[in-house]
Amino acid sequence: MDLRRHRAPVVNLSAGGTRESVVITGMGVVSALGTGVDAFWEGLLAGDTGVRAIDAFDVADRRVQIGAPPVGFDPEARLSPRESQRLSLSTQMAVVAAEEALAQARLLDHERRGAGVILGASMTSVAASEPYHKKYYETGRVSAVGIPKCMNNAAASAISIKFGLHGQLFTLDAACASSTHAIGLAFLLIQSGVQSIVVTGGSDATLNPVLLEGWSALRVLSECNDDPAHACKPFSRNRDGFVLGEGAGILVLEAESSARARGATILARILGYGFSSDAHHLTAPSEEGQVEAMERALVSAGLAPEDIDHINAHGTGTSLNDRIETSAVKKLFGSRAPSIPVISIKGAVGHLLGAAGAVEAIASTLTTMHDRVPPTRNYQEQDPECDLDYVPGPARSMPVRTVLSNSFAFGGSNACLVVGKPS
Amino acid sequence: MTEHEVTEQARAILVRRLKIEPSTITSSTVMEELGLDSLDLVTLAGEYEEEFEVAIPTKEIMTIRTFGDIVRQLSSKVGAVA
Repeated sequence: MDLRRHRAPVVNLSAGGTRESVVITGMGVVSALGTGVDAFWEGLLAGDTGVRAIDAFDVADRRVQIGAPPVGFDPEARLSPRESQRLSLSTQMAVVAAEEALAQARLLDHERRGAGVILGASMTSVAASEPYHKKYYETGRVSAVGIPKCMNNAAASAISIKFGLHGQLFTLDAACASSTHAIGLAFLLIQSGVQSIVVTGGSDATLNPVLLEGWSALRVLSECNDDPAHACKPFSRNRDGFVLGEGAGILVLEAESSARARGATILARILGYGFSSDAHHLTAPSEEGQVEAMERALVSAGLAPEDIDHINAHGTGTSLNDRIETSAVKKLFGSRAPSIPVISIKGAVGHLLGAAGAVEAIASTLTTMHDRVPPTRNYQEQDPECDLDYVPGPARSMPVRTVLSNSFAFGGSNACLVVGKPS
Repeated sequence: MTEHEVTEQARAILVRRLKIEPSTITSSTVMEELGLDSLDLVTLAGEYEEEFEVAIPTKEIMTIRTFGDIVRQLSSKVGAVA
């Protein structure tokens, strides 16, 4: 395979034209496995799941009655009363995760002043606006806080305001690839010297009756209502779809020169970012598009297929995605494919949609930090068309120099990151 | 409800959606050949569920290939007589 076909463009937005190395100096997570990176990581390694019966609203007659809402998340304990009122769930989770990430990065006020905030989110504002729509049709009134609470950029704004960050500020939507693209864009901006530090990642909270019914109508959600703990079985022959999850993953990305100058602890590197568009179908994936995005990520990282030790797959647990993604991996990695551990964490934390890429990038970072590959929760039966090593369990100790993390979205937007060790 | 009525009602929904001649839709008509993809099929299934007040399980939708398959599934669910 000729990787030179997809040489990633070098974005020279600064006069100097130098390419910075990009490192990760902080991470924060809110997920169905718990609040905080430690709870998330320990849960992943243990093969736990946060998927359970939905109790936040009535799902008694619904086709899908399960979800993966955040666990251990107490906004009133972590946020001020004003923040609890003005901020939607998605924004609250993003702020709490950002607080953890920035605390780990140990940036002084003046050091973080110029930092940007670039997040990914998808339909979270649709969920947040539901009570306002309802109240309008019942009473004709909308609370003034509705607009700023539900605007798609609310989480990024809240982070910028709370932590005094004056750089780039926006939110990117590419459906299920949103936060991977956000991290990728942050990577490009730092690489080209436009920003030294970017707080990036994503947050999404879409477990509401209307959106649940919408996803259910697409027949892509698991209907294992009787056994939520074993719903969402990525790559397994008896898979029947994914589970909607809620959560946030925030990373502090930094120019290596900046991190070293201030004596920061470098957790890992973002080595590369690849992307493509399928130009194929609103909901069905394209193998060719996925291969192209993965290839670009390798070229961006200056790596060859044999340099990748592990793949954190998109792995939604739908019949189509898992088959196509397996095929794409085999096409790119050839005879090496069966020896590369490929996992999905969606059986553990659900599909976080706009935030999925971020928590998966964090899982990938933790994997390379600790040389431990979490299992693919709920992998049960081999599918002849999905015949790679999906790490059925338990967690595996092995050297992991590099991880390829994939996000393949509705609408055909594909994004891949390569994460590697600090040195 | 008779099977004939199920057929006519199901055909009418397809005709409305696709804006084609009713006579082009027979029991052996392959849905894909009408230009319907997977997203169209699940959307259509939702319309049929609403129209006929039935639930069509996901596994059954995945087996639909022809218009006749749809009529058979709907007839079974509404208890249509021949």
